[in-house]
Amino acid sequence: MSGEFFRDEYLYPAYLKALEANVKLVVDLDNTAGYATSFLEESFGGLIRIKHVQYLDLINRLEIISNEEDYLKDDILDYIKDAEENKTA
Amino acid sequence: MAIGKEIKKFIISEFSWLTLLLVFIIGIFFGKWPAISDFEIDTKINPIEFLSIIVTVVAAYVVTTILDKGKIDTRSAKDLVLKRCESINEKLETLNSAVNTGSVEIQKITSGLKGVSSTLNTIIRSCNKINLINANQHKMKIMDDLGKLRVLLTSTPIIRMAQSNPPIVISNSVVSYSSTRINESEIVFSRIKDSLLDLELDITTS
Repeated sequence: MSGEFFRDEYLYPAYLKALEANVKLVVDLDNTAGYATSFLEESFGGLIRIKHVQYLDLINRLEIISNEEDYLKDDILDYIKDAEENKTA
Repeated sequence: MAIGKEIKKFIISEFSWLTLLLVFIIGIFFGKWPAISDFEIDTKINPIEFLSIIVTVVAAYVVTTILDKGKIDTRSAKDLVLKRCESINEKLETLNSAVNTGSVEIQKITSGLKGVSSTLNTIIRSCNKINLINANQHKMKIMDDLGKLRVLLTSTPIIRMAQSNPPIVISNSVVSYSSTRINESEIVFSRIKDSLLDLELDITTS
């Protein structure tokens, strides 16, 4: 599955639902065979870059579970931040 | 086979008889010793000397059972942790060889990298738990390089920024690397192996 497919088919619709219900969007990254950097960048950074999601709302609403690879939380926040900075640059 | 066993049994039983005989002779010798020499045995017990013997016996017991056991436990723990370090080396070697072929399934790369980082986390946790060494600095160094390796091996350029000769291309879940990218990752691989060796040395000499 590509990051683009995951973002368009799963992540963005789930974000819209969470936004509508005004609840947290919980993404559990555990129990997989690992993630490619570009998959995560395209999925989460793409929410800002392609889907034009509001940066502050996204980082406040998003809750990432990653016990097996704890560094992924920081990586994802960096991708979102970079996408926001590149958008405004 | 059966004859061999019989011979062994015979030797053991003969050996036991010989030992008994030897002990018997030594017993008689020491029994007769005071009679055949000027040697005298003092039958009075000096309480200070008696106490000293008791203390020596207790100290010998403590040293052999408690302190030595502690040493053996630490040695076993070190061996277990070092075995785990060796398994990281094997995983890195497998990953490195796969990358060097030029193209490999992306899942092999992501799961390989995840396997390395999760085993490393287990090692660091174990080191801290049994107070072997403070391994957090080693962790930071290796995780930093693993992060760089993850970017080198799994970060494809964003489509709109596509280059004419990209260093990494993913097609049908197979990732292909340019020779420059292979060389770049080779440097990081060997840096991680060096850091791992440092960690192993610290554990061994702790």
